[in-house]
Amino acid sequence: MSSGSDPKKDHGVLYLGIDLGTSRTSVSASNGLRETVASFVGYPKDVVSRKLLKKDVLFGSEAVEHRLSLNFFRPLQHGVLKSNDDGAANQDNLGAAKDLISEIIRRAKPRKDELIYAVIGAPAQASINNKEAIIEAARQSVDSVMLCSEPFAVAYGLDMLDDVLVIDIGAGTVDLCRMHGTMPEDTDQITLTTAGDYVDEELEKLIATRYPEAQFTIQMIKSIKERHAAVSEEMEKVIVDLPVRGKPTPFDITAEMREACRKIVPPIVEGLGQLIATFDPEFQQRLKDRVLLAGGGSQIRGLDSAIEREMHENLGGGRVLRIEEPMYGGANGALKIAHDMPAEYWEKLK
Amino acid sequence: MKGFPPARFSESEQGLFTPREIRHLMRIEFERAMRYEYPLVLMLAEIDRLEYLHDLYGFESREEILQAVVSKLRSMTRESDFLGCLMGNRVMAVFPHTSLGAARALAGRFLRSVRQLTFQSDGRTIRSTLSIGMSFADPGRATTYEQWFQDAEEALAFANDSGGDRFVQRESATDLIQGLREDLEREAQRLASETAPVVPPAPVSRPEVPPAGSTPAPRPPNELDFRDLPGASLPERITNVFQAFDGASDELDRLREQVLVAAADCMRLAKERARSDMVDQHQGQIEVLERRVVKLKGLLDLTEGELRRVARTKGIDPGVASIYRTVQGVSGDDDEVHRKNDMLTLIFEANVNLRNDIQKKKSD
Repeated sequence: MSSGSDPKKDHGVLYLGIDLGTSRTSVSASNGLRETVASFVGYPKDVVSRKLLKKDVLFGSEAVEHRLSLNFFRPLQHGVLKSNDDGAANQDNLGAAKDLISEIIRRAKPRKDELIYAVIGAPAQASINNKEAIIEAARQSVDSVMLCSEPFAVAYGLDMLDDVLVIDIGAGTVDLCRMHGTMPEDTDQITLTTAGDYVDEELEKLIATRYPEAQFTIQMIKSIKERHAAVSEEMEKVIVDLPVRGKPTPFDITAEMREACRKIVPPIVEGLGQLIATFDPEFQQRLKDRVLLAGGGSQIRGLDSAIEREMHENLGGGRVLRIEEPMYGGANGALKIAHDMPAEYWEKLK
Repeated sequence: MKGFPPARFSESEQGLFTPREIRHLMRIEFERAMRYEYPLVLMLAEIDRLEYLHDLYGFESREEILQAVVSKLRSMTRESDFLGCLMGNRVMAVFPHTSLGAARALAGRFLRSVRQLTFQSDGRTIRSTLSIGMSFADPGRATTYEQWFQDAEEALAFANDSGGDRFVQRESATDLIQGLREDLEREAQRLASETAPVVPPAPVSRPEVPPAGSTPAPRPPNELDFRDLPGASLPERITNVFQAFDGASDELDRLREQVLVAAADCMRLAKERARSDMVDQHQGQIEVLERRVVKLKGLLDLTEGELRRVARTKGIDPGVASIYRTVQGVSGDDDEVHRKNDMLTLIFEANVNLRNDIQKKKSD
């Protein structure tokens, strides 16, 4: 009956840590794969575009590239799923989010015969409707799923569970979280909306004010920011080509870039001040000296120093540590939580 | 005979009457035997563990065995006997004008000839055995068709439960008690008439099951006999028998004690044998199941191999295997294992509460 040589069996449990972000969705998997995809989903508008694109659904940069021939979705806003006025999840966005989660799981290349247990980082202050929508979106692709606070996942992933302040700068939100050896409660977390998208909007306004003849879109601004974002005085000059009546024209946007990026610093330090001020006075200094900077926004050059300076001015000092992998900090932490979670908990949530 | 629709007898694939036909014939024959007062024997025969053979060696082997056994049975029965296939691997036969002794001899011959049948499958030799349940319709004693059939079914079940390869004749409880009473009385008379001192009972060897078809006496000890005894227990009955003798002496008391010890030994041995049979039977089933698991595993390997081949051919990505085969949990070596477990429990509880809230929201 045997086919000769015994085939190697690789049945097992695949853990996934997923960071479902407004701008990017990342996954870290226990098979060693890491993937990130821009949180854009597009569906061909008609038969012609479907035939041209040869796909029913496009994701990430590919969706952005072909967005003119697509029904284009960015399913998350301010870190959560876009909802209707009544708070219920928008069905189109929910469908797009489901497809996005399925895609990111597919990119983790799970084997068909493996159990998939996933922990998804959700914004600290996401509503029940949003969490329900995320769970519903994930359930069709995984065997068991749990949600956890994104900044907590970052801290857990770095094994920094005591007296740490986490700043997770995403596109939609900046999550601040105070870790003090136990699960953070609502009072330990602050969510700000002055995040990456806010920087894009500010930069767009500043460029439009200074160079009214320049033509650009918010997507172009986003791309420029991701490439040149910095806050230091000594930053390199940012010269970009923008069309003027159809002709690419170089513009110096160094000052605009610095100003736009610096706008997120004061709200962050103010939030940190709130979390520090309401902490045990004996440990406040220790908390100030252990500030973790994570998330895609942490890649703004000089941001750690800028926050330190602002903390020095307003809070009397502080030390900011940038995590090594800002893109995967949340996903890695979620993966570690998934790995450490006891089996019976996974079973009960199936 | 009234109320029976005329039947058209078309023989089944194995050359047997169909279940409906044989039941119809059996009922007619039973009524006729009761009216014209001739003995009638009903046998239900079943090939032991045929389903397991089917699972192990496949459908063709099963059919081959069934065909061979049926052919053998047909060759050993008269034209006037009725042989029908009842359900699956169960064969029912009705023997008119057949005494109990002749029926037992015939059942014995059935068992022996089926034992001698051998089959080959995948280079392995398969042997088959038969279980037979028998019921005797005596015109001199009132009985019903339903009771007659039920007796045969119960006897077959007992033969099966006892490990198979045997025949069992189901008798009514009254007959059984009467037989026991007669045996006891005979034994008591023999003991009373013997003047020589009784030697202590030698170690009792394991009683052999009488070969099928042999004469019924002495009755083999088995659990059914004792279990079906109504009223007093066997030791009490033996005591009663001894009390029937006047002028009880010490010698008689000793004799009674020895008979009780012997009876207890017989009962113990019978129980041990039944238990041993059951263990053997279960062991056999375990072995069969293990072989089935091995076979199914082989099939699974083949299927997986084929799926891999198809996936390769079609360029399907099989995925990347996780480095974990089991659920992990926090390592015991972690310095903060307790604290982390507490945190994970809180995350879990938060998720359970979230699910409950979602359920509640939906139900509202």
